[in-house]
Order: sequence, then structure tokens, then C-alpha cells
Amino acid sequence: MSGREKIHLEKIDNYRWRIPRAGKMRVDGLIYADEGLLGEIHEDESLKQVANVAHLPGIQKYSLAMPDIHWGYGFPIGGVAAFDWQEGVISPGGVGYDINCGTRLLVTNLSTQNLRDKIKNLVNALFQNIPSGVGSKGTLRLSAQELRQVLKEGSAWAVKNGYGRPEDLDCTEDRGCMEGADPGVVSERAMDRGRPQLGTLGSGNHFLEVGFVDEVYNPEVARVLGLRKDQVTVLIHSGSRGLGYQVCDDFLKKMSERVRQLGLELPDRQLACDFIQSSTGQDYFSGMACAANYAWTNRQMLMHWTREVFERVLQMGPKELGMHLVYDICHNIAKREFHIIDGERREVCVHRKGATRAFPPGHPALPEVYRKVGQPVLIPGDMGRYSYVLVGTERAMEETFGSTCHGAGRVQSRTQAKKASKGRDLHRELEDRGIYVMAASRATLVEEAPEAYKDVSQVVEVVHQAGISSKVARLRPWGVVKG
Amino acid sequence: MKRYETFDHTADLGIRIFGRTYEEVMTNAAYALFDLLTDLDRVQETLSCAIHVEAAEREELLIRWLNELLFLCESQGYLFKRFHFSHLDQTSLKAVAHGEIFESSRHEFKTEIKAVTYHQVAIRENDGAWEGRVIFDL
Repeated sequence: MSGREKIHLEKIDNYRWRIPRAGKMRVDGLIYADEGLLGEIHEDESLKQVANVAHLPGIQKYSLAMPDIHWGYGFPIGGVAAFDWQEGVISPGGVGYDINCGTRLLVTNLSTQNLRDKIKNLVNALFQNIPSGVGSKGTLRLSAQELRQVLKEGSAWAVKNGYGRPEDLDCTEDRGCMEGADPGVVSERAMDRGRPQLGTLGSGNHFLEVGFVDEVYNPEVARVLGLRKDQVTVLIHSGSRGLGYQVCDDFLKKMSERVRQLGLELPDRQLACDFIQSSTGQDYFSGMACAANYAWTNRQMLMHWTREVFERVLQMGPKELGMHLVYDICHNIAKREFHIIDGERREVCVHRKGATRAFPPGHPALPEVYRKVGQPVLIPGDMGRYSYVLVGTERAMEETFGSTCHGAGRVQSRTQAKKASKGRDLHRELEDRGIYVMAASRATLVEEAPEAYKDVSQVVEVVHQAGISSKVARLRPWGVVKG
Repeated sequence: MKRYETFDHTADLGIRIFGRTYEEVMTNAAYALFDLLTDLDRVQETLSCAIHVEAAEREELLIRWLNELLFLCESQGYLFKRFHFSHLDQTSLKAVAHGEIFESSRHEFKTEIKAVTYHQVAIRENDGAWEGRVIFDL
């Protein structure tokens, strides 16, 4: 029932490709990729989705796509688009169901030799103490009033209630609390789905990974970020769980109705949107901010329990372990930001769906410690290869509304991954590569097999060479908890 | 006649739903949802739940119907395997779903479905055969 259209691309340079404006597109599309990745990108419908996003009212400069782009619904995964704050639209499909899905990176004072004979115990303990898996429920029993506080305050609520340290907030995007959150616009249904799930990792591509710094590309910046070669690290990837999915669905419904009322012509229903200044637009922004705050609280709690498990298993105190938060970033979000467009400073709503903020050195949104080096960007790869730490650049600010890629991006569908792993012992294969994995289900493990993803190194190389972020260090997975 | 089949979507999962009538497609779509979520052979019909959904048009009704079932599953643990419509037209439905509540000793979730998306949703008749198409966000 769907035809695959060949989208016409013009090469700008080795890392940039243009989809020229055609039909009712309001701006060009701009794709960051090299020849190799482009071949994979052509396999699915993601380029058409980049062109579709260019149809939306108020879009500025380009409809952008990062090198980890793949077929999403509505917006492509890996898509970035900015809309004029006064005249433009906001779209739940441009954020995704898992609002503020994101990653956080912790460092430790440990080197790999300190952990060599304890890694399995540690991963087992993390798996037992951190709820994960499909429909996982947390240990917390929140009242409706408490959940509303979570939605309003975000990470600060967690810290106030004993989950973590005040300094964690300094190293969280937006200090773990998005402006404009109003629990009043969040439906009972979203609250019902979210209440039992706070403090859970979830399933699918969500994970908690103990790893180590395997390569340092920029020693000076690495030092500022607190990273050194062979240091043990922890990377956490999770989001807003059922609460975020429900907020997205609730507003897709409302906006589908508004699209009909307004008579907007959209190439895909999943692009349903409304003007930012409309009451539905404002309500969505407030509801999305609530879900974002829930996700930050969630990751803050997951991090807190991770620290506790390390202390218990390794019999070390917090000072000795030195488990500092390097940074926490979201990669599914719409943000109110200021950017220079046609030489003018303009207020826009930047949608990043499977894309990461990458602000340059000197940006006022950065914590004091990173002001000189730029915003840390965390790019998780698959569980068999690498993850990367980069920093944002001025060029990202000029070209991509301060944005970069968010991960490896899938190259095999889940069914393909399942077929490819038939009869194989993935646990064993990974262990032979020095990676110990605990997964809530075999299905997840199989679907998340390393070869189901693009090589994250290739994706990172593109954003580095294109200058929209800059490599600092590479991490290698060692012990992985999968949902 | 096959009730449904899955098709690949890079990050997610699509289903094509078959039926001789519109009602059969709506029934089989609900069946497919739970068949993907859990092993339905282990689900007994010990309780039922009345469901009422409205929408502006047929495609949207399909999405809302499935999202309603997904919500009941996630929030209250319902696993349904049989569906009966007392009313069904292009913009509203009244149904009774039969099944039981999830019990971890007997049931297992095979996959997490975050939501039923509107992306490329379709439901149509071709020479007396009906077919629907939906993409799940996993």
C-alpha cells in the first residue's frame, strides 16, 4: 500500500546532501552523511520523511537529518527542524512517543584492572536492583500529588528525595527541569501509565552499560570532562516510559482534529501539528515538558541506584568511587531556543527526534565547568562495539540549530535481526568479545544484536568531519544490562 | 484465511491485517496486537471488558481502538484474545473484549509496544477482501 519514491539528492560536499525544494516543500532538505551511509539511507523511506517535514508551516532554513537517520513515523529518526516561535507549528510526531529519551554518562575513579574479576558480580547486581524489561514496574509507590511534583520539578525532585546529589543538576541538560511544565494538561491516563513505572529502565534499545574509556582523541577537553584512558564509566539510556507515550498519543489525537479544522494539508497523518501559539500547541508544550521532567527524574533515580550497587558490590565509599555525572542529554524533544537566522537572532522551537543538542563553547546554557569546551554530546552505539563522547561546536550552531546525531541508528529491522541470530548463542558471542550481558528477555537481546545497527564510528566520523561536533573520547562496552 | 502478517519497518514493526469484512479486520487487528505482546495460548477467558471508542474517520478509529486496548493492557494488565462488536461503523465502535489479567507466573510479555502510530495507516476493501495496515512504535 505504499510506494517507495526515489528522492533526488544533490551533493554539496563529502558530508552534506541537499534535497531541493519541490512541490509544496517550504525549504530544502539537508542530510549529513557520507557515500557509504547514504546507500543504507536509500534503503528505507527516511529521505521522503525529510522532504515531508519541509512542508510544515513556519519551518526555518532546512529540514535536517543526521547521519544516523532511519525511517520513523512522521518525522524520520535523526531529524531536526526548527519552527518560528510566533508563526510556526509544534508537532508531537517531531518529538516521538518516548519524550526525552536520552542518555547520561557517569565516570568513576576506577580503572579496568580494579574491576576485572568483579564485572560479572557487578552486572548481576545491577540487573537485580534496577527494574528493567517490558512493562517493568518500579519499587516506588507515588501518590498523584507526588507524581505532579515530579512532572513540575524533574531531577530536582529526585535530589530532594534522596536520589543523587545537588551537583548532578549542574551537569544535566536544562538542569533536569524544562520550563513551562504544567501537570494540569497531562491526562489521567498518562498519569496512570507513568505512576508505577518511575525508576525503571524499560525495554527495547534502553540499557545500562558499564564500560571504559578506550581511546582519547582530545586530551585537553577529555580532562575538563573528567575522562581518562582506561577509566571505568557508566552509560544509561532510558526515557519517559508509558507517561511520555501517552502524552504523545493524547496530543496526536487533539492535533489531528486541529489539522482538519485548520484545513492543513499534510503528507502524513503522523505529522499532525498545531501552531505553537495556539492553545493546543501551548498545552502540548506544557505536557511534553512534564514528560521530559519525568524522564530526567527517571534517569536520576537509575543513576542513584547504580551508585549504590557499585558501593555495595565493590565495598567502596562514594568519595573513593568518584562516580560523577559527566552529562545528561535528551534526544527526543522540542525546545524553545534562540538561533541566528538570516543574520537575525530569532526565537524558534527546535524539534530533535533522535538527535542531540550540541551547543558550542561559550553558550550560556552550558554549566560553568564546560563553558570553555562546549556541551558534552553522548552517542551510544550498539552493545558490541563503541560509544562516543563529543562536544558541540560553533558550526553546529550555524548549520543545525546546535544539533548532532544521537546514536548508531538501526540498519536491520527487528525481524531481520531475529532471523540473523537463529541458532546462535549471542551471550556467548558477546562474552568472547569481552562483553558480559544480562537481558530481561532473549527477544530483546536478539533484536538488539550489534549487527542490527550501523557502525556508530561511521556515524560519528560524519558529524566530526562535517564539523557539527568534535570527537573527545571513545568508550567500549564491558557489562551491559538490557531491558 | 490468515488473520494478519507482520512487515518490516527499520526501527519498528508493521502489521497487515486481513478479513472478509470491515468487522473482521477490526477484530483481527486487536488479535494481532495481543498476539505480538504475549503467548495467547496461555491466556484464558475469565473476564470481559466493555470498550467504547469514537473517531472522526475509519483509519483513526482503527488506531484509537488499538491504543485503547494497549492502554488497558499497560495500565491494568488486561490480556485479551477474543473480541465482539455490538456496534461498529466508520466513526464509532462498542465492543466487548474477553481475556484475563496478566500474571507473571503464567504469562510473559514478548515485546513492548509503546504506541500504535498514525504513520501510513490504511484500511480498505479490494474485491470483497478487506485489508488494514498499521505501524507500531516499539
